[in-house]
Amino acid sequence: MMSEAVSKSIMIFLEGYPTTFLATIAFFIMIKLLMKSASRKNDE
Amino acid sequence: MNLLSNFLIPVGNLIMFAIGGVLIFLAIKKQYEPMLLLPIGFGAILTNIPGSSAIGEHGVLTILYEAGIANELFPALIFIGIGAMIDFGPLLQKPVMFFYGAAAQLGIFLTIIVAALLGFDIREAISIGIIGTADGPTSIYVASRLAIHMLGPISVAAYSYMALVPVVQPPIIKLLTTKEERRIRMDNRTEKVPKHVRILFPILVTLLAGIIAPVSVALIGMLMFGNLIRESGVLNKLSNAAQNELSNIITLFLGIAIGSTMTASAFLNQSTLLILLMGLVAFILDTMGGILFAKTFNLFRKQKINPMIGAAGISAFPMSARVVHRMGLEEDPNNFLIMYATGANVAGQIGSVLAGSIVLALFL
Repeated sequence: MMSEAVSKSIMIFLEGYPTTFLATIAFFIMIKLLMKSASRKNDE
Repeated sequence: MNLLSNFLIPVGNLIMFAIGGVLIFLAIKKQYEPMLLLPIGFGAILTNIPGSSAIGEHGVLTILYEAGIANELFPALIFIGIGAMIDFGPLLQKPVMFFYGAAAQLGIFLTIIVAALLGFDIREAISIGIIGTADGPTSIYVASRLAIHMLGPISVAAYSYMALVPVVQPPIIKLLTTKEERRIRMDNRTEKVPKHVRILFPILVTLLAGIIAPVSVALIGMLMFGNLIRESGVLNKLSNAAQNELSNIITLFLGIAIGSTMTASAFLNQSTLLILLMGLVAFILDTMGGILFAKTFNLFRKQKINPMIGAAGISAFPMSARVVHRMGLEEDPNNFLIMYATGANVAGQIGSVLAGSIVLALFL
């Protein structure tokens, strides 16, 4: 039978790794918006 | 009292003297993370002198340990210095590099599973996996919260492998990429990053990361505070102090206080060997995660990205970026990967703290 530590570690992988990616998607969108607003400001 | 009896030093302590000596040797002769390994090595020697007054209730090292490690203060303060040192410009110009910084955290998560399979309890397994952040302060922060008894070997592993990035990464990069892939040239046009973007970035990252994982605020918050000081343009004295005086003093205290945890009974056991081995596994898996992500991502991209850049997504800054850049030049002397690799590398700095915090948030 799988030990508690192993099952918890698998749970951490299944939740943690995708969450790390989701967070970076948020960062990516944030920077894109920031840079876009900056270039728009420059164009004006 | 017979002082001659003091010469009867237990074998374990003698071995710890030798280990301390090896760390000092590596720091001086090989220049492997000397700022940390030298104080750790000397701290280990001070601690293992039988009856040492440096440790114990009134021992200076124990006081330092209680003041800065047991309460996680030193790692958090070090992040102010790191934040003040980092220029996030390359990442702001190429925000897609954020994904590479996330992908290369794979080693953390897989190593936690491997450590659990090897019989470590979940707190220990997490602390071991976090070596894969390739980020000393985060490793120390997590280990001091979850498995303080493993702090010595975890710190030694984290800093040793960071220093060994130029040895560990190239063979894996070569194994997972073809010559053609390593020759992919990158567009090095730069875009000016406006000052207000540089100022807003640390504030917004702190807010976003804090909302996603509130436990990250202590680390990301300090990292970004340091960066805000740097980018504000009005606190040059503080920025310099954070990069130099603060960073150096805390590193000094941190190293020697970690050394004080390396008693023979705590260090000389099978777990230490496994921790050192798992640390290497974590670094290898991180590198593989970054490269395999880059290759997969390329399947969906018109303009391919050199997959070696994926390996720079680990947080070992700036060694990993330099390794990738150098390997790019070896394949093609006109291929300059440094800007992308640095972008991925600083993304890895944020990614590693974030991943460490997410793991803590899922566990606590």
